[in-house]
This record gives sequence, C-alpha cells and structure tokens, in this order.
Amino acid sequence: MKSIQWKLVLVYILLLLFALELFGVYMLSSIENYFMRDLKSGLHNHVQLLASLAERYYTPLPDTEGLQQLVGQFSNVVNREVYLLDKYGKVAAASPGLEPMIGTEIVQPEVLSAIQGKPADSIRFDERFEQRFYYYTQPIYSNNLLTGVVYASTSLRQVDAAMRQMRTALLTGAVLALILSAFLGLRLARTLAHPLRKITSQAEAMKSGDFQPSLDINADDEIGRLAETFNELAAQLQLSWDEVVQEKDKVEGILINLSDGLIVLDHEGRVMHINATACNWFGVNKQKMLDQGTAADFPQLQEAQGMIYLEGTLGIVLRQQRLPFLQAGKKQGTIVVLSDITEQNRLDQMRQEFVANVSHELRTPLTTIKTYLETLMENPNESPEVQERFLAVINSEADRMVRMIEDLLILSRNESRSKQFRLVSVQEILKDISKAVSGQASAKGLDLEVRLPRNLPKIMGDRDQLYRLFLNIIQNAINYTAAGRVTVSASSRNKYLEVIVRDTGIGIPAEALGRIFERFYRVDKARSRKAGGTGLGLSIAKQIAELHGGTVNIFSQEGVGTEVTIPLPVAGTETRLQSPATTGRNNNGQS
Amino acid sequence: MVRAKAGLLASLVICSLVLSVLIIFGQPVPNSGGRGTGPWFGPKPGLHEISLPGRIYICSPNQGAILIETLSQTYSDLVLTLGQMEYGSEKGGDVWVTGEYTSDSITPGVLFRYDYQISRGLLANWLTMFYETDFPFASIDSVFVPLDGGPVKFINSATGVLWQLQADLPLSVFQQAAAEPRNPAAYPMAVMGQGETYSVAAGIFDLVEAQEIAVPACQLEEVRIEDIIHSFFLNPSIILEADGTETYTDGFGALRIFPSGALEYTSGRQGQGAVFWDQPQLMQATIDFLVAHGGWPGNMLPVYLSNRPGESVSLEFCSFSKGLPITGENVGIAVEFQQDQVSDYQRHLALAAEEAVEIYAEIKPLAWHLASDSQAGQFFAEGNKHISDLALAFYWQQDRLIPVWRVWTGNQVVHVAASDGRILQIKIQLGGQ
Repeated sequence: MKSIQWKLVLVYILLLLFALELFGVYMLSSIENYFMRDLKSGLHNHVQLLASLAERYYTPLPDTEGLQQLVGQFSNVVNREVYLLDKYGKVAAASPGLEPMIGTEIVQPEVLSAIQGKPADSIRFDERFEQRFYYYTQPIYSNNLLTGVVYASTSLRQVDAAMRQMRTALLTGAVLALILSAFLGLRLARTLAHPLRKITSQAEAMKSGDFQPSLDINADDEIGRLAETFNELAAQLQLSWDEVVQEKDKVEGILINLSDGLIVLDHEGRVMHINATACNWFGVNKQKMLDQGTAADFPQLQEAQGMIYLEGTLGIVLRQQRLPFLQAGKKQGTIVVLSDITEQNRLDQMRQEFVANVSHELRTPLTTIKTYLETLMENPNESPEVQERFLAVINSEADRMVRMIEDLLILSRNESRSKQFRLVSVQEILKDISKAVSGQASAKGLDLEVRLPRNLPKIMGDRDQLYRLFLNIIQNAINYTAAGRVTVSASSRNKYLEVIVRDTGIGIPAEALGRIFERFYRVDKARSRKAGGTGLGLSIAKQIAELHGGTVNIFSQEGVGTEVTIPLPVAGTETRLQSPATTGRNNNGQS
Repeated sequence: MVRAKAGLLASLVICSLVLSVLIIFGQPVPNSGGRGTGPWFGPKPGLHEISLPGRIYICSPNQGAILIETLSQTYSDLVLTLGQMEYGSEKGGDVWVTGEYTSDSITPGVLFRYDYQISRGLLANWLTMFYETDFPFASIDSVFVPLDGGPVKFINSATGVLWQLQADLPLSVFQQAAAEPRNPAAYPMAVMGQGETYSVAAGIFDLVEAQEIAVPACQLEEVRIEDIIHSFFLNPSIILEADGTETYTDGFGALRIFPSGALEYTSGRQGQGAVFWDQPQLMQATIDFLVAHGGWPGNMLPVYLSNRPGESVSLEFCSFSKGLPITGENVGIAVEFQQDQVSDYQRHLALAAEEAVEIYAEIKPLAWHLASDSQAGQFFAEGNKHISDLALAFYWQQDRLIPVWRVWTGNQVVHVAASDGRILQIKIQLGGQ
C-alpha cells in the first residue's frame, strides 16, 4: 500500500464511494419525496374533492344518510378508506366495512387540528398491518362555517417497497461502478506511477553516486517537466560532484603530503581525521583511528602543551598547536597540528654550541694576550728577552685570532656567496698546493706524493674555494702525520672527479668521526692548538665541497691513518652526492 | 500505448456525455401521436366581445337618462363607435386630466357602465385604438362620452376619481342615438337623489316613474350532458347521491348534475401554476374553459369579477334578455380559479325562450320602494346604507323571470323585486363589485 499507484486507486475509490453515497442519498431522498408528494397529492385531491362534494350535506348538521351514500360510493371510486366526521370529531359516515365506526369519536392529533380549522397530516406505523400509513384531515366549510372533517388514510406499502427496490438497485449499481472504476483507476494510476517509479530509480541511482541523466519520459505535463528537470539536476549534480571530488582529492593530497602531523578531534574527543604523518609518528593505524580512535590514544598530546618528545629510536621532537575546529561558526572539535622540529632543535643546539665555542676560542687567546700584557705593564723592568718572548706569544695569539676570524669569515662568506663558477682544472690546483706544502712536508720528514692522471677532467667551480678545500685537507694530513707519507691522488669515475688524500698519521677515534665536521671541534684540543689549527678547517672544506655538488668522506683508523675522499662532479653534471656514512674503517684525519 | 490511453479517455468522455444527455433529457419517448380532440361546443368569442359594458345610459340635459337595451342594435352601434375612439388630433389630445366624479360630472352624453371594475388591459380589447399602457388608471367602471364634444371621462365610481381625455370619435352616432334611441325597451330614468335613511353615489340612475315592462318567458339551457361529461373525464365513475344528484368523478374532479339540470364541476386538484391577476388572461382562460366544457352561449356578459389578491378568483356571467341580465340563485355561469386551474364551475343558465310569450309586469322606482314599508325599505333603513350602484335585471325564480333591482351596497348585492320591493336574494360579493 506504500505505492502511489495504490494510494491513487484508494483515493479514486473513496472519492467515488463518497460521490455515489452522496448521490444515492440525494437521489433516494428525492425519489422518496417525489413518491410521497405524489401520494400525498393524490390523497389531498381526493379529500378536497370529497370535502367539496360533502359540503352541501352539512346544513349545518350532517345529513348522515346522504353522507353515508356519498362516502360509500366515493370510497369505491377512489379505493380509499375515508371517514366523514362532524365538527366534534365524531364519525358521521365511513367507507364500506368501516360502518361500525359511525358514532365513535376520533381523537387523533390531525383530527383535532382539523376541528380547529387547520388541515393536518401524519405518518404512523400500524402494527396490525405492519405498514406505514399516511393520514390526512381537512375541514369542511359550509357557508363559511366549519361543519365537519374529512379524515382519510392511505398505505405507504407501495412507496416503501419501491424505495427498497431502489436501494437494492442503487447498491448493486454502486458496487458495479466501484469495481469498474477500481479497474480503470488502477490502469490510469499506473500511467502516473510508472514515470514516478522511473524518477525514484534515478534518484536512488543518484544516491549511489550515479548522476548520469537517463530519464526518458515522453510527456508534456508536470511529470514530463519533472523528469526533464530531474535530468538537468542530475547533470548539474554530476558537475558539482566532480568538483567536490577534485577538491577532496586536492585536500587529501595536501594532507597526505603535509610534513606536519594533523589530528582532528570532535568535541567528545573522537578522532575525526588523522593524516599519514601523524600515524607514522605515533605508530597507529589510520583506519582504526578513524573508526574508534580517541584522544586517549595520544597521551603525549594531553601531557605536553608545547613540545612533545616522542620516545623510541626516532627521537622526534614535535611542536603541537591546537586550533578550534569550527563549522558554521560553532566549535565542533579541535585541530591538532604537529610540526617536526627535530632538525631545528638540533640546529639550535649546534648554534648554541657554536656561539659558546666561538666565545671560548676567542676568549682563550684574548686571555693569554691580556695576561701577558698585564705582566709586561706590571713589570716594565723585565728583561728584554722575557719581554720579547711575551710579545712573541701575544703576537702568536693575535695571529691565531686573525686566522680564526678569517676562517669564520670564509664560512660566512661561503654561505652567503652566490655561485660564480667557471671551468677549473683540479689538476693545476693540486699541483699548486703540492708546491706550496712540499716545504712543510719536507720539514717534517714526510713524503708528499702527488699522483695525477693527465686527462683529468675539469670541473665547474670557484678556484679559490677549491684551492682552500684541498689545502685544508692536505695540510691536515701533513699536520697530523708524524712520520710516513701523504699521498694525493685524483681519478675520474662515473662523471665524478674524485680527489683522495691519504696519510699515515695518528688517525681519528671512531667516536669522534661523527663530529669532526662540526665547527671548532677538535679531537685533541691541546695538540690542535699547538698545531695552530682553528677547528674550522674541515667545516670549511665540507662546506666548499657541498657548494660544488660534492662532499667530503673520511675513512680513518686510529693509529693507522686517514683517507679523505672528495668526489666532485665534472663539468656538465649537476647531480648532488649523498653524504656517505662517515663511519667505517678508521683513518687518521682531524679537523 | 499513448494512443490506447487517449482512446480510453475519449471513450470515457463520450460515455459521460451520452449518460449526461440521458439524465438531463430522460429516455427517448416514441411519438404516439396526439390525444385527439374533445367534443366541440361551438365557436370561441373574442375578448372584445366580453369586454363590453353591461349598461348604457343616454343622459339628457335635465339629469334624465334612458337605459337602452343591452346587446340591442343601438347598443351595438354605440359600443362599436366608442371602440373606434382615438387620441384627439388637436393640441392636448394626449393629455389626461384627473378630476373628481360627482353628479355634476354627468352632462348630456352617453354613459357606458360596467357591473364590475374592468381593468385597463381588458378595456384595451374594446377600445382598440389604445394600448393598455395608454391609460393612466388601473381600472374603471364607467366611460362617459359628452355629446358636446368635450373630453371623454373614464370613471372609477368606487373611488370617485375620473380621468378626462380629449378624443376623436364620431359624435354624430351618439347625438343621433340621443335624439332617437330607436330602442323599444328603453327605460326613462333620472339621477337618484339622496334618501333620508340611505345615501346614493354619484351617477346612479333610478326609474323616473312606475311603468310596465315586458317580461320574457325563459327556459333552462339545454346542455349536452354526455359531451360535457366526456369533456371532463375519459372514463368516469358515477355516484348517485341521496337526492338523485348524479355525480361523475374520476377521484380528482366531480361533475354533479342536479335534478334541476344545473351543472357543478368541482376539482380536487390544487393548482400548480401562476395566479391569474391579469384580467385579459383570466378572461381568456375562462373563455377557453367554457368553450371546452359546455360552450359559450350568445348574449352573455360578465357581471361579476372578484379581486382578492392571494386568493381564488371568481367570475360570473349572465345571459341577457330584453337588454337585462337574467340572474337568480345559482343562475348563470360561475367559474372559480385556484391559481391557474378551475376549481369550481357552475352552469345553470336561463335563456329567453325562442317563442316567448311575454307578460307584462309593473316596475317601480327603487326610491319608491325604499320610501315605502317594503322589505327593501326596511333593509336599507337599517344603518343608513349607501347605494353604490343600481341596475335593472330579471331574477329567475320558479321557472319564471321577475324584474328586480340589483342594488349594490357595501359588499352585498340585494335583489329587490321591482314590483313590490321584496328582497329576493342578498348575495355577498367578496373583493370587488
């Protein structure tokens, strides 16, 4: 019964039933009224006629004999039961068979009314005959004086029988009309319901995501226009849906590729959204979190308000930021944005350490210089030898400060300097350096061996910076090699020019290999200072190598020696090398 | 599929239309032809024949007058002449002047007098040059044509108002009739003066002096009983009443034939249509009924027409002999209408015998009787009665005619024997003269 087709049929039938009942009541009422009016009219005419005929027998007392003869014959003519009464309601004459009533007084209401001069009627059920009867009385006037009453009745049996027949016929006709109308109504309702079903199917398909307009209803009426509009709506929805999907994909892409973690919690703490980054950090399953995750699954978020230190091997430091999640101007939950500040944190630590190192490195020579100067000032009479030695120390410390500042300037300049590379011959640079440090190596009794192939390719770079890069590495090898050999070689392999500096020096402890490129880091501070190092040489070297697309790899074994490999891309290649692990076989090498 | 649906709807529309036609107009009935005509009782008179006055007085300069014989040649000449009257051609001919009707209004001329109030619609059937709406009055009972060419006066004596109109008509006919009535039954009369115990309306004429009058022999109308019965009923039943009256009836109407020969038809049906308030319609319906149920005898004019709004309408007709109406108890033709149907019809018509053996009777002026110790004198002496009209007539009693004065006073018509002042009948007339 949920189908509109059946509803329409039901409405048809109910309306028809109502109309038939209304029509039936009206028609039966009209017919009964007609029958009654006809019956009453007939009786009234007879009574009126008899009253006229009987008038002359009331002069003014009733002439019983004359009236009886008149009534007897008149009753036979009209076939009715009639009484003629005197003006007191007493029967003066009666139809044949009713003569025993003569002389009796009739006190029915209609008779009493007629005695008052007013015609009256009534309908009563006579239990003796089990019929309804219609009674009518009319006064008789003679010379304008009321002299008697005509009292007549007629049976309503024929009217009642006719009405019963009418009711039966009407009922039968109504049932037949209802059946026929129900059948026709069903057919007509189907013509209405069929296109509506098609529209409903289309709506359900749209609910499932199929927005293809496919309604084919050829009707130039409201349903046809509805189908047309529905097709247009589907097309519009398809366009809108595509746009929404695109936007959704875009947002999801953004969230997936977002380096920050994102967790959206509703006002009850349930997870509404979590992106892959956050899942990785907290080690949770995204779908599980979306299904049943709550804020309790992220205890770190509740404990720490600003910084979060994730335990485990990752050692990630996160900074959380909580924002209200608003929809239609009402807060629906909280957006937690997590930013990975691990590297930033490390850099901050390095910066603090660098500043402390710089301060320390500068304060040391300054302290030395100040101490010697105060001694000279307090003891102006010191011997010239002492004074000269003190001044030499001051001069040496001042030189060291100058070198240190120059190195810092180099570092700073390299960071801010724009690339102005040109074709440079590494072979020539290495030869120049070899000439420059050969004296130093000879002074320490070291063999400086330079093995360079003839067809060594050129690279794009800054000659001065490359000179300092290789000089720092080679000088380091000479400085930290007490005896033995320092070998400088170069080769071209896989579009890279690789410069290798080997020494047989003291080597670098394994635990220091990870920090040797840090600024001011020295494996042996006293020895380094004695050697005149600033602690910035390897930092500068690595910085220059990376500026040229290369790197510095150190392999060292304490007490055996160190091998420093510097791969640089030859001209025409832009590939940046990944820094290999700085651990491995130990080799000597210091910063 | 679409064509099938359209066909279904079209068939439904057609079926609905056919059913609607059947409902509205009913089942077609085959034409079974006419019912056939009933018995024929003679020709039908025109309205102009029964809208004529009952009396004509030719008034002389000394307030004397001659009552001429109604339906005589002179009567015919006068009514035909007046029937040709039209608006005066001179200036002011179409202007009606209203005045008061007094005895002085009667100057030498011809007075046409009705026994009832005739409406302007019925009057227009006689005065054929006028339309009903030409008359400024509703009804009148007299028309006076002065012999000096003065305006014609239309008089309502009951209200005492007259309307004068300058009209064109051949006065010579009236003047010649006044000079030489050529009327054997003319009765010299004079304006009736006021009495000590009664009053008299203006323009009432009484005999100048006693005179002898020829009384015609008369007989009852011979009616075609069988035809009249069948004009009312197809297959009536008969009731024999105790006094020998035969009553034919179909249960809805009854035709009584009294032993005296009088006929009375009574209908039990209630009228359904409109009520006749218009005299021409009423007269026409009466003519149609009489012609269909007994016929229209000649020499008959209406003598009474009731005018009671909302109730039944009654008309009475009398035959005329020697210029006077023959009246009496239940004599004449009376028709009563309930709405548009005849509810009562009585026919007991006395007609002058073809081979009349005239006898003569003395008639005296009414004033003479009223001044005497007669019944009439005693009757009119009670309560200072007012006589609104007076006319001579024959009263049918015991198979003979008696000259009588018909005296209208109040709502009564008193029939006073013109010879000895006996009151033969007092008839009550409701609603009009």
